[in-house]
Amino acid sequence: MTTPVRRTTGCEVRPAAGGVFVALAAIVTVMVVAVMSLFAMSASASPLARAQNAVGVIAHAAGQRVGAHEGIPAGQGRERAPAYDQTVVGSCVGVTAEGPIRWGPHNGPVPLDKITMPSGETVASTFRSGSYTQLTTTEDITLYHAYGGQSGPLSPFWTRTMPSGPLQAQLDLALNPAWGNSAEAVSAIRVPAGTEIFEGAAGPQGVAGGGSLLGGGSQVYVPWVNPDWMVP
Amino acid sequence: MSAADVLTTVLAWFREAKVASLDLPDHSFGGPGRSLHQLTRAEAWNDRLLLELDKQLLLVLTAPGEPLVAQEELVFDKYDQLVFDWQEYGNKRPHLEVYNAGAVRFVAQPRPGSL
Repeated sequence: MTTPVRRTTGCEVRPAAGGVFVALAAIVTVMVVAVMSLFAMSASASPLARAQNAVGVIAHAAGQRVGAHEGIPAGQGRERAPAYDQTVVGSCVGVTAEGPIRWGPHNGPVPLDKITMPSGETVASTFRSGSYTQLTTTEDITLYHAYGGQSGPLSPFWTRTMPSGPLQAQLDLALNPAWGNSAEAVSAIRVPAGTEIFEGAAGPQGVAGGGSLLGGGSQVYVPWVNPDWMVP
Repeated sequence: MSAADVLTTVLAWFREAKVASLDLPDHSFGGPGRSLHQLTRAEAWNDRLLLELDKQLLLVLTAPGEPLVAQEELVFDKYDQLVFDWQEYGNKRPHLEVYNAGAVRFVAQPRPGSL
């Protein structure tokens, strides 16, 4: 004797026993997670196993911190681990190296407004919207400079992107033809870790006779270029 | 001030500055503040002062007056004649420019810590 098999369709309601089990499992899971979270530590601060002393510094109070690798300075307002005060006695948690600072018209006066070039424009104005990031390199980096004609291989203006040709460099870096830079050659420098640089997108440059070069490429301003950094 | 004295001043200034941009009487060479140059040779003889930059830009100042010296700038605003004999970077195409007046200005990078 065989039991007849009952076919079901996609829309047919099936007995609820299985659904009740799934719902109960979900409730239990939520409760376990909730209980575990009571004992979890803050994700933004580490508990200290022993007392530590260090000095905290936050420079550029008006600056806006950005970047994925910034240190967590003392007094930044982030939540500490719950058990910190009970288990460890020490003075302040120290500050690591200063992180990147985003500058622009919204939080001026900005550092590169202090540098006026012979043309009368400030270095800040050479960045798109006058906005750029101030940072100290944490590792050696290689920067490139398109040069030729009147422009020599050394400059305070560099790019992270290896120029692929004179036209690309002129457009992306907004190299004004009036400067006499033919951009037919490329120089490179190896900037050591610990060097302060300013980077953003190259701003537009108006050209004689009307029109402008839009820029938009990577622009890095290095205030203190050491000729010894040149890559042969 | 003799050309030899001026030479001493120039050498001392470049020793500190290391590199500088060059502003000629009628334009900023390589774009305003855009190109930095190293002093690769400097000589004085009679009333002439020769300055070579990057081994391919030659400035010959005849009867240079005492330059104006500041931390950021070295300015020649008095001379009888300036001959600027230079080759283009990248292709060495030759050029010659002669000036009888106007300031020649070397501008150093900003001092560390000044920003």
